[in-house]
Amino acid sequence: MQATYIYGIVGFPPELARGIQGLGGNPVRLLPQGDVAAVMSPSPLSPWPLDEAHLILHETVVEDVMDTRSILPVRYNTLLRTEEAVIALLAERAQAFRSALERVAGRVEMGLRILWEPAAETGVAPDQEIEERGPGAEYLYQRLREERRRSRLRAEGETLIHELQASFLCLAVESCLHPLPTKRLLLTAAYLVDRDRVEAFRKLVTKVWDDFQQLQFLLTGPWPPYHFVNAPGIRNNGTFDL
Amino acid sequence: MPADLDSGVAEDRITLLETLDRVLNKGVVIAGDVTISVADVDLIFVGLRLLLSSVETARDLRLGREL
Amino acid sequence: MAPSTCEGSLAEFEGELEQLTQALPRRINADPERVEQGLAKLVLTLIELLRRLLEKQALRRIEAGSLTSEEIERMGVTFLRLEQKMAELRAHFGLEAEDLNLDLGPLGELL
Repeated sequence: MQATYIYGIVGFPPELARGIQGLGGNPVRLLPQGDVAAVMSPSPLSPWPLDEAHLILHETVVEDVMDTRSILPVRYNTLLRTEEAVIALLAERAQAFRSALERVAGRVEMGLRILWEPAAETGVAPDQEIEERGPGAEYLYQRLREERRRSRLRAEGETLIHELQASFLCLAVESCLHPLPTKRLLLTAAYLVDRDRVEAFRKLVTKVWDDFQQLQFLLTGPWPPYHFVNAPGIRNNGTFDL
Repeated sequence: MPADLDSGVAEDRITLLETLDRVLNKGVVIAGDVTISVADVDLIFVGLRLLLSSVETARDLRLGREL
Repeated sequence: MAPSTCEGSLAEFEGELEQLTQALPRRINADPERVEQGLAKLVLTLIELLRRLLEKQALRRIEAGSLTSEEIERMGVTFLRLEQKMAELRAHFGLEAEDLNLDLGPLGELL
């Protein structure tokens, strides 16, 4: 069992505050290199199953560490063959890790999803003279109507999001938005918030919700800063930092 | 069905889904030695997004150069 | 830590989240059938992307008025046939439309 499983990256020192159990019941410890360290546990050299229990355990380890310090969460099933490989990784990316840790120092992520009910389609808009149309043309004109409706909705949604953002950014240091990910979701967003402002952020979201009764809000967190560990402006798996 | 029983299950489910989304798709990407060989198969499933990243990027990821 | 929202909408958020997240990926094993399906998924996803791009182009030209009605009818029929073919291919490989999940991030706006 000489391979290492990595849960996250932290600054070093200090050592871990307490003993934590990791995947397979193996003990979690820090593997330091200079002023950064990998949060790891020994592991066999094969990927762990993709099931609820293991995924939750991984997250629990990250959140336990996050209790007392900042951590850059690492993706599930990141395995390196040897401890030397981990040290080499830390040495090579020390600067990047350091800046990322600075960015999230003393901060956590709050997740927000908002449901909306876009206005129903107002009947069939009369377009060009409805001469006899074949099935092909009928299909394309139908698609055209759909696309026009989608553009209108997108514009409406973006205006609404802009309005909401104005309030949330009063308390969030940064945000990461995914506008209109589905028909019913207006927004999926992550907000980087100072730890001691989490309660205030919760209250703010509740207050904004009061002002927008037609929307449904889902607030989760605090999370480790999953959406804020990469350099700004660079793709973070389907979402852009804004 | 009693409202709190319902919402308890839904809450748990939502927490799980939100956790999955983060733990599987977000966070720092480290090109682990072992995950690469698994990822070779995974690539087939992840789709166009990965194809669009250049060969350069893929090589850099493999060498752990990109955060 | 528990998600906070009003009772009624929990189930709805759950539904949307299921759509969005990969949930527990079913793809874990490497048996030949799955690999074939994985390849099919990739290929069909690419075809679907192209189809959407082409369709979008066609719609733009219709709006710009640069197509005759015969051209529109012909193209429409072609797109209909293509859509039908895609449905057949998907069915053959046991894939749903949602399986061809294109998360293109900013590129998504092109579609």
